[in-house]
Amino acid sequence: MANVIRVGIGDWKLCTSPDTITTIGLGSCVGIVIYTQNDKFCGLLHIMLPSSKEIANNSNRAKFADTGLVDMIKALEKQGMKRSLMKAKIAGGAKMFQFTGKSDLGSVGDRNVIAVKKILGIIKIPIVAEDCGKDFGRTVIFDNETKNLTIKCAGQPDKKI
Amino acid sequence: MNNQELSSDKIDVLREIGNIGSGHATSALASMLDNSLRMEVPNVKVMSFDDLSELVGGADTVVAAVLTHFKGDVSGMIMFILEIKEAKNLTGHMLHKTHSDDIKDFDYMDKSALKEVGNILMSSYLASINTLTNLGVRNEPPAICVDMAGSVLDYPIIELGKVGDNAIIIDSKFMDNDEPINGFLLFVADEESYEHIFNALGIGC
Repeated sequence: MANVIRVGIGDWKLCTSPDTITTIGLGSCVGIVIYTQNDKFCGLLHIMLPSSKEIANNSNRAKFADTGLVDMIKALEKQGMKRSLMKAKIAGGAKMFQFTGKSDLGSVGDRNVIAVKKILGIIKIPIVAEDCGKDFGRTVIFDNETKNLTIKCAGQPDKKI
Repeated sequence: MNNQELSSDKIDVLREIGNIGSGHATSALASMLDNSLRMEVPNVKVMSFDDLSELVGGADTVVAAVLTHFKGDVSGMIMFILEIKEAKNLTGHMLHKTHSDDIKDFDYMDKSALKEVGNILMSSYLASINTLTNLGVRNEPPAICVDMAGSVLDYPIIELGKVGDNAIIIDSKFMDNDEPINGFLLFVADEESYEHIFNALGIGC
């Protein structure tokens, strides 16, 4: 019997097929799934902020793109996943509230997406699919057997990336 | 200051601010809705982020939320959030219309009406901080969002996440023709602002 593993806000978890892994209601947060073509297990991280270095209260490392990715990738490697074979799919980073007369300079959603791409670029993990930005929330579910990341949005049909 | 360590004195202060704010808001809303409207004594709670979305039915429940930033001696943000079906009841009453169950059936008129309700509630709450403490607070124009609770709450949670892992919630239930409309006010101020409020009332940290 396959279970659905739920990842909360500012958290990451690993998952082994046939189980699937999900995180609900990504707004400006970003969800990052790391997997390989052949491994039966994968990881999903739900980050809230781009960098742990800008914030004094940084004890929860999974809240941040930099520390969260490092920790989850280490855990995947410990399970035997090869860094050189890792791939990523990302979603989220929306701008939920449109304030009139406010400049959009560096909305946190955009900054989260930029930070995630930069870090994955440095450690050479390719992003094979993404669904980021815009102004709506996303629930994501990753099925490691088909490697599909299903994206559910309120009032829109589901899509797979 | 850690939100979790709020003393009962301080919770009383926030509740009193909520009471005065609700009083102002109820009379303003009643004249706008042209109806008798009652507001219950608000409940003040300190909650963890993960529990926040449970207030409005879970992270994937569709909600309507109005959010405004405020600045001055006290700065932060305040959000009025309610489930979409409750929002439809409220705006349906204001605009004399009935809605279908489709979540898309909440048009710009509904949004505009709800934004106004939220604005009145939030401004009243902020005004009561000024009445009670004499501290200056100025609110900015609000914005509205209709989407999954989890994604809507990201915005205040990210702001809160910079300083702690808890939020102060003022639960403001009001009754319209004996039908309760469950709305929540989420009040997020920075650490310094809480100190200003409590110091102004002589109960420093």
